Amino acid sequence: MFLQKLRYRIFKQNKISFFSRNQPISQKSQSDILNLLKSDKNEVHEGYRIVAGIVLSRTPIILRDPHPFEREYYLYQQRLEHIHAPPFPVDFYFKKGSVAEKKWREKKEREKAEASLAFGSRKTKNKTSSEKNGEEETIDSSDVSSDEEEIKIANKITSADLTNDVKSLDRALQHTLYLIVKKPRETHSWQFPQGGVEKTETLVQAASRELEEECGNCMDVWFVGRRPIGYYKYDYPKCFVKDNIEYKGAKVFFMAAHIFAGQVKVDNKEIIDFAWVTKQEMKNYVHTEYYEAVKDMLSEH
Amino acid sequence: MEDFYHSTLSTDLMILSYKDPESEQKFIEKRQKEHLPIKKSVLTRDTNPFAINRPPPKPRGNKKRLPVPPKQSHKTIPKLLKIDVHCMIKEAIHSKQHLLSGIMALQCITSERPTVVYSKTGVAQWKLRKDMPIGCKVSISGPPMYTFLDKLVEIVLPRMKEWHGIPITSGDQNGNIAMGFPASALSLFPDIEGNYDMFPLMTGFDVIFNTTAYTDYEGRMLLSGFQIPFTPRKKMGRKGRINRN
Repeated sequence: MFLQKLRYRIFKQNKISFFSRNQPISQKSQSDILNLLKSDKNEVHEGYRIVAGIVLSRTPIILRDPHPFEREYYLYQQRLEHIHAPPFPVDFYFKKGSVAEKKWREKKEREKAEASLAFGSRKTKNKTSSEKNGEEETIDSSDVSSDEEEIKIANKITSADLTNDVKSLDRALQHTLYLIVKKPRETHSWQFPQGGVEKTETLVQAASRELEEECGNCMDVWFVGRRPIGYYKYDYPKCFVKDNIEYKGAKVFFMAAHIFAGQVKVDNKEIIDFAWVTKQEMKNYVHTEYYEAVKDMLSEH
Repeated sequence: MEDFYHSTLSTDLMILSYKDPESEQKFIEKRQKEHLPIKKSVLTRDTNPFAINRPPPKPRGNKKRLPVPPKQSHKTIPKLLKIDVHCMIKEAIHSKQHLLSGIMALQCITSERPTVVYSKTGVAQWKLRKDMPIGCKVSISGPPMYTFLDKLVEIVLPRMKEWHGIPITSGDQNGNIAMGFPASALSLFPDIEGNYDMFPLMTGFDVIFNTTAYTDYEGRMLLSGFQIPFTPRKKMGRKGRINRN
């Protein structure tokens, strides 16, 4: 809850930031000169280039592992519920003397015997609390249909996890993965994909165009709304500024997006490498300053 | 599903339902206006001795007074509060025993015991008198609610025939969205499918999604996040025309 609060506050701060499309650019002398200098079609504000960044994420696919305390809690609640539940109306669900009834009674007896052997370790047939832990839920469903066919449970840890293949999307299924790309330079090489906003574009249009240019068009992407979720301002290094006097730095507005299918295709011009990483892993890739700026808009899950 | 809400959906909803301060203020003021007393009389609410300790007068016309939303924060992200399932059984007017079938059906699909609903007023044409048991309802929240929603979305809705989604106009202007089901939908629930023969009477039922959203738009956004389909307005118009012909 606290985290969400913090993220909300940051989200809001970013919203109220001064930049808006309709606002006229401030009439200071410096920016006037810069306006004159600006010859191409890129969007500029107070000497800073306006840039759209894309926070492309793959949402968690499976439920997270419950904390040991949580597990205990739910198990206890489940047992309580089982004790206080009204008796199961056998006559209503099974015809008297039918095969199904016989089977059910046998199963119940078996369960009882097992429960007396190891008290509390047995999972009861309780649907309400089974959604809490996905693993046991699947076991439950396999129990029900064990007579007809065996249901195989896929492993939570995939082969990509074992080989630590950061380019695979089938990794860290319990966590949110974020796309970061590597640019051909020495410092600040890893970052979210980003690109300059052109005069006639909105932020979303710029973001989707840049994503297509940098990462190929083999991805099924959905942008969450048209508002930016984060803001980051930085100055260009001095050697870079000498070459193009137009911009002092860049103001990055991050757009949230989800990927549903597909994979990144590296174009080897603007970017040379990419990785799908969780928030914790991102620390090892990106610059500390950059991480501090973006960490609050990323999900802890 | 609850976990899905907390890990994925709430963040997206926060981004999508964000209003900039100006339009938020406008919205709050618009809602506050509905709560002001009628100003036409010479005596205002403060000076009128009749108004002291009385509830504020109702707005004129067939209008509802909608609650004033609080300032948006991490607490105002739309959330599903509870689901009400309700059914009215016409046959219960003649014999109360028909209610039992409905009660059992609702209990099967929601896993909670329904309460009997008594008629508030009598209707002479239907031979309905006041305080007769006429239907049953159950409101579920927490894990049972998410289980029910899961069943509805994964099993029942995809198998319903000639149903294109909740009409986009549904909603009480305050983020609560309701939908009706025909009697045939009841048999699609896995809990009832198995022993369908045990229910002598199948009834249609209503499902009301109670959300903490303050507008229908946000409520719809939340429900479509749970993969409940909505029909767009255009399609509905066309369909309506076809039906009339």
